[in-house]
Amino acid sequence: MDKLTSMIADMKLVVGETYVIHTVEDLLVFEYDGSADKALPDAVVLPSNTTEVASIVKIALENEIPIIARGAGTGLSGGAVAKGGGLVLSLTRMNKILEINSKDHMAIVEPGVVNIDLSHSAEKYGLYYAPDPSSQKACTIGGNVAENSGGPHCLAYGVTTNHILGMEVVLSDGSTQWLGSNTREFQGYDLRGIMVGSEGTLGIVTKIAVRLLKKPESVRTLLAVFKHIEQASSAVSGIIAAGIVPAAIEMMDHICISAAEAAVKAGYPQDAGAILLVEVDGLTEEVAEETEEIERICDNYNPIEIRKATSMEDREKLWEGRKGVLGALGRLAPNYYLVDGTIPRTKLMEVLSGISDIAKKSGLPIANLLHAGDGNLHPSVLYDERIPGQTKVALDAGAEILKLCVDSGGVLSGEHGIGLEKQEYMPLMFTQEDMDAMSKLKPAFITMDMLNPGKIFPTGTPHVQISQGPAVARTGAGAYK
Amino acid sequence: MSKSYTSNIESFKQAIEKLEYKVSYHNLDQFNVLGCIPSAVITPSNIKELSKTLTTANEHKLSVSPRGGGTKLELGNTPDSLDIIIDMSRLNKILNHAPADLTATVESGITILNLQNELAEHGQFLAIDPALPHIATVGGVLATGIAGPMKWQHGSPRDTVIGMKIVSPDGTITKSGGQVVKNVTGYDMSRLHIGGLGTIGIIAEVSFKLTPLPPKQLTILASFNSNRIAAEVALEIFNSNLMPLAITVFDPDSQDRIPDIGMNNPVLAIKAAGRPATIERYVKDSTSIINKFGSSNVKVLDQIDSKPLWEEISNFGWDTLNSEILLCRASVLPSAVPNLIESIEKFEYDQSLIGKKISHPAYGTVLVEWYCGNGPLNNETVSTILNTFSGLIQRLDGSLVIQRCPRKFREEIDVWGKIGSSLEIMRRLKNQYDPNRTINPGRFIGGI
Repeated sequence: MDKLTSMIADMKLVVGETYVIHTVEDLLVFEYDGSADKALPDAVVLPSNTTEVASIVKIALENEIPIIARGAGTGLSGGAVAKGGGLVLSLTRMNKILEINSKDHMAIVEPGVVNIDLSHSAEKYGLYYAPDPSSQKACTIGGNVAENSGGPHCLAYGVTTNHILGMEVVLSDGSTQWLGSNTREFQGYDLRGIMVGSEGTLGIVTKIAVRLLKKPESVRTLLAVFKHIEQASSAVSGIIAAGIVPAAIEMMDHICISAAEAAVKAGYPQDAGAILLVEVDGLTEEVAEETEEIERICDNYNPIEIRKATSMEDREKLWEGRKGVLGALGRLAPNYYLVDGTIPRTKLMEVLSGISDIAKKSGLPIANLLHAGDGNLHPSVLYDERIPGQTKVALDAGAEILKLCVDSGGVLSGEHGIGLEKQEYMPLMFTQEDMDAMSKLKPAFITMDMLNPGKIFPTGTPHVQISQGPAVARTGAGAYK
Repeated sequence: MSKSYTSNIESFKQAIEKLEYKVSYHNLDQFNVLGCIPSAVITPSNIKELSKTLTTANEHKLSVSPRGGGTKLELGNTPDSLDIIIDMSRLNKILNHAPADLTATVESGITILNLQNELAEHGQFLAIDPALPHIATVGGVLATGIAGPMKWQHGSPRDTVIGMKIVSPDGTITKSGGQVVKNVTGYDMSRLHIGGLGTIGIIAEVSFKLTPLPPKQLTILASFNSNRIAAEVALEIFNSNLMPLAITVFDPDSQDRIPDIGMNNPVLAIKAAGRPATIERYVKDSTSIINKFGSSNVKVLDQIDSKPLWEEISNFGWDTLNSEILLCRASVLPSAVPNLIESIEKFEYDQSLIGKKISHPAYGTVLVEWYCGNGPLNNETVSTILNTFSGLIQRLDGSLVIQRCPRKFREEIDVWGKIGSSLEIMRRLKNQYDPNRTINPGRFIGGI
């Protein structure tokens, strides 16, 4: 019996026959995440509790096989792709909300809980979980912790790390630790803060204590349509300069608008060059005062039209175009490469013009969807992987965009993580000393480089799309509708 | 003092003097850390000099301690050794303030007040309100991780930092994060240093996200028959639709430094901010909640009148040079605060202790200051009393840190309290980043 076969047998004893996947046909589903990379894992295991996770980790360690923790697989940087094989540890069965403590505005969840399910469950207490990545109907809180996910509303409420109180983790040696606390203050180094955004390279998170926020009493959404993207950009600057930090400020360019229009018939004007979607929440008075001011600011920049909505139903309509845009891009091209850089907000026009040059040079259209309030850009390079060489052109265009972001004082990733996709670009931002200092965390967490190895840090070889095994049609985009 | 040590410090002095730094060997006792007197004080004027100082100290196997404003030197254990104080006061520049991006990058030796004044000119502020802002520095506040009453709404200092430049014990300069508010590029290394008491590296530069100054601000005060009821009302506000900047409970009778607000019983203070109609709503709703709990003694102070009050609330426990102070910080879940306050009052009664208390119920923090002059807190009883106190907090699933403690008790007490098995990870972290134990040896949790 070879090593893998005996390991599979051992794991079946821990989690049961059904929850170890090892035939090639079954493994195909775990070959990819939301990124362009693909690699077939050696096996997939689906534990149901912390003790099982710890046992699996020990078995993997004995067999010297790396572990790739995986949530819903919606990640966009290849973090859940088993580059070079390995054991995928899927946490989707650990999907229980263990406790909602409404008095203290907190919850304890298992990592496989789907982001939006937590907010739905907390709703009856008038609470919600604030980080809202666009994939929130599918992505898991554990995955959000790994990637320090953001979302449209993190402009006012912060990203995942600002909402995590503590967590239970299983380390590579199979030991279980609680990091942080249930309370807002604790002593010692902030290990929970280190774990958030560490992309599954330091430990397997098995329980998470999160903060919940009170549902705002009033929410108002304002959609402003501009002829030119410069006007929309100036309006954003004007809002911030007025001392207003709305819950969200989203922007779409004309390519996104026409795609969204074709898909969801949101009724956007034909000559719209850019759309701003601004959401304000809080006390009724506060929302009224701030929306009035935002409207006045938008009016200064000659909008084609401004629409406002307060009721849930009407707001959903205004958001419909924005939420459907990534799915809608599928009408323009079979594939898109979604880039995720953040820049200082004031460099927006400069960077957008640079992106437009990159689009011309590459010959591929680039649609811009932005979390404009915090400078997080999501340019999507549209391409067709069936045309030989086009994937590479798209990836190269993405690389140029990232370089442009860094040169403008920005960063490689706002909310998607580095993973495989951007690991070779890390030297654009960090010196070898910077990265050495980061890597020193691994021995402290005794990872023995068994957890998601070969991610985040550069390997010295240029990023080419990994593609092992049979091609599987990408279905990831559906998760973002 | 061993001979080799003496020769180390002598050769260090020779090495460092060649570098033409500002080095001082005078009035060294003023720079003592919990009674340990350094052999030299070095004041680098830029990050390169800071780096060179650390490299040289590390090579000579000397221990160093960074110093900001020196307002919280009593936090933590007595150092295992202390040779060099690195005075950060000349690293005090604002390197970049981008008002339209709501970000700023500063050197860590700048005082909080100087930074806030500069930001205020552009209608912005850094959302942390620590003790003694005219003395406390950015680096010191981050290293201790101790914020003021606004932390409920704006989070701890951890939540405002977006990037950092660190000088490692061997002098290597590294950065993490960036100057944008949303970033997952590499590990979030700043987390190791915020609240890490300078035991991993020295914070040299920090990038912050900023907050616009609210158009209008005021404070609603109400008095109650007990601290417990005041805390319960605070939680009622916490559970309402209101989101004030700060909600704090204190007892004016027991406070000698809090300005007179014309109230004697335990007071609930609510700091509200926003545009005019929003502010009005805060006053209306707060008043109705306060009335529901049986108090009709309500006062509203405008921003200027309430400023001294909030300053003293931030300063609580840190604004006295009296070294006979035991300052405890208990952290529990918000809902446990009213019980905790009542238990502390009973505990004080049982132990014949007279204390001052301030609590931030929505954040789950209760601060207690006990005076140890001639009272019941003597060498024999202090550890028993604190063990009982710590047991009380543990039963509420909380934690306790002794932030200030008279030197004579330090042998008897573990000021950091219990931490559990993650201490082993923390020890390994220290070993990874400071294997020679060059910076602040022994001062942190578990003697790290």
